[in-house]
Amino acid sequence: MGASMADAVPPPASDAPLLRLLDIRKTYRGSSAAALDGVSIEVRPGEIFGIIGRSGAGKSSLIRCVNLLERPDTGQVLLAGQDLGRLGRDALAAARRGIGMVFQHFNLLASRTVAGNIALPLEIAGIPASTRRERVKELLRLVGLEDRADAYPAHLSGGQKQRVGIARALATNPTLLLSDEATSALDPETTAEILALIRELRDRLRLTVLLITHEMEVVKTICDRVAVLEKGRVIEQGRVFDVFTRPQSDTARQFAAQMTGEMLPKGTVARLPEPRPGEMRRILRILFTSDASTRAVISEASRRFGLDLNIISGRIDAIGLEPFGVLVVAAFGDPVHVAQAIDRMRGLDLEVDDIAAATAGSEVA
Amino acid sequence: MSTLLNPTMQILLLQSAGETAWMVGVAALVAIAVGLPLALLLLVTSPGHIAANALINRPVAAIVNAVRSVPFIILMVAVVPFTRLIAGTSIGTAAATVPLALAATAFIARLFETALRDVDHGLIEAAQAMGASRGQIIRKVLVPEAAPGLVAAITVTLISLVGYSAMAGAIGGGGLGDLGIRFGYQRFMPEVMAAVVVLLILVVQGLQSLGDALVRRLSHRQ
Ligand SMILES: Nc1ncnc2c1ncn2[C@@H]1O[C@H](COP(=O)(O)OP(=O)(O)O)[C@@H](O)[C@H]1O
Ligand SMILES: [Mg+2]
Repeated sequence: MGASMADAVPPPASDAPLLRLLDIRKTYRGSSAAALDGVSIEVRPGEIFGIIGRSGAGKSSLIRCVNLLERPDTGQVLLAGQDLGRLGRDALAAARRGIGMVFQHFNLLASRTVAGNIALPLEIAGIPASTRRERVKELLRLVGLEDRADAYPAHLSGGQKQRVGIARALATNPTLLLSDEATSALDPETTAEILALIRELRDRLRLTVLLITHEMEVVKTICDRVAVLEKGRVIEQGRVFDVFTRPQSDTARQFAAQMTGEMLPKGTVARLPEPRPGEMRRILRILFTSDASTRAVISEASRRFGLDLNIISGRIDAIGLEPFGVLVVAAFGDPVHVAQAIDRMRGLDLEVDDIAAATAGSEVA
Repeated sequence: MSTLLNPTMQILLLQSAGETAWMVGVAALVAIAVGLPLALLLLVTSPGHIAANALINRPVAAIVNAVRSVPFIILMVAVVPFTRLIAGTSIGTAAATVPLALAATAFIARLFETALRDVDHGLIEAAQAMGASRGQIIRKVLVPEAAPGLVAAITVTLISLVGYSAMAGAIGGGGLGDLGIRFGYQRFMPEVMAAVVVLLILVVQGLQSLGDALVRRLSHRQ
């Protein structure tokens, strides 16, 4: 953990937002429910902003509204202060050249080679052939595909295809990169590679990234800030660390659980002793986000409230570069004292969840 | 066999083959030249596409379907005034080419449209996200990506045209099919019929192989 602090990225500049979505609403024809129900977000220059949500939450609809592939019914899309909705056809085309986009299924032309695919946005922008060739070479180098320039997409791996997708998206030097589930079709290792590449490009090119995903891993790995989307509404947003260490909504809590896990090895609960008469047994998940010493909290609880505390499992992880720890303990003791101990820990700024209910039927392996 | 060794008969066979080639070739060229823009028009004006427009799409689609639903032998007769306008006459090889081109255009337009529709919509969106105009989407995405399918459509059309051209005899168009009917059937010369059939089989096989080879070359999918 300590070592990774060294290559910490300078905190994103908090200047005026590069992208502002203001009260975006969209209802598809023939549909009764709104796909987007008043979404407002601000993306600052140089940050990686994630939008996470379950399938059908409206993530794709939202990101497609940014470059107006989808026209919102109402609401504004402001890029560097410019209202994209008011632009005429040519001006919109020009504005779109300043916004790169990568897709879950890559969307590469099968009829063009890697180099040909990367050249496409340059051709569309009317850049002369000689300049194009130079720029394509540069972009191939940027994504590490110099040796695959003449290959057709059909002969590339998923990760290579997405590298081509990224190079193509960056061809016209956009300030904003949109990513619609760019890693959802990739295996975990390739996902990590692509995410690392996106972060590296953000740092190197001072790029701003807006990405949507249904995977907690993506948000946890590269996003600075996140918005949780549910039924077309942003239900929570803020720094990734804050949102997922102190989730306010069930959805955010469930995404957070994907990351922290329940951490109850199979059979653990069955092996625990039964509470003595007059006592109770609760299984608690304690989330440490500050430097509060784990042992101090546990031993204090046991001393002050006369509880027996069995540590079931423990783990340290990080969101971005910020570490956090999760401890699962079984607490035995007088019900009043157990409740007091929980209050005390919460008072020390710890997240404490009673997961006993979850353990009755469904133990997580 | 003796009949086929007869120089007159040989010349007649060659001449008929030439007429077939002419009718099929000219009709196919017209069909491709008119059919591709027509197919693109049908596609991009269809609902949800890049230039959706029911006012254009519905009547054009109706005309194409109407031409396609008229049996060729009837179409030939029905368009005689139009044929006279274009070819200056209503009988002969040139005159037969007009209804052939008309039928082939409607036929290939639908095949082209299907091939173009097969292009993944994601590619169109990617191009739109790059700021491509509709013309650029057509030229740089739709047509190149559909190229294998377009070539396959051309192959099918050529082969169908060879078959249709046999009916051209009805208005004095000549060609191999006509030769087969006149000599092989009406004058009881089975060798001529056999020669015509063998020739047609070879032509069709050749077209199909050529088309398939070209499709393979254009296709970079695997
Ligand atoms: N083109 C469309 N036409 C009609 N309904 C759509 C269309 N695209 C998305 N929807 C609907 O809008 C809702 C949000 O979809 P989407 O934005 O794709 O969500 P997500 O990307 O989060 O899975 C869903 O209920 C979906 O069925
Ligand atoms: Mg989606």
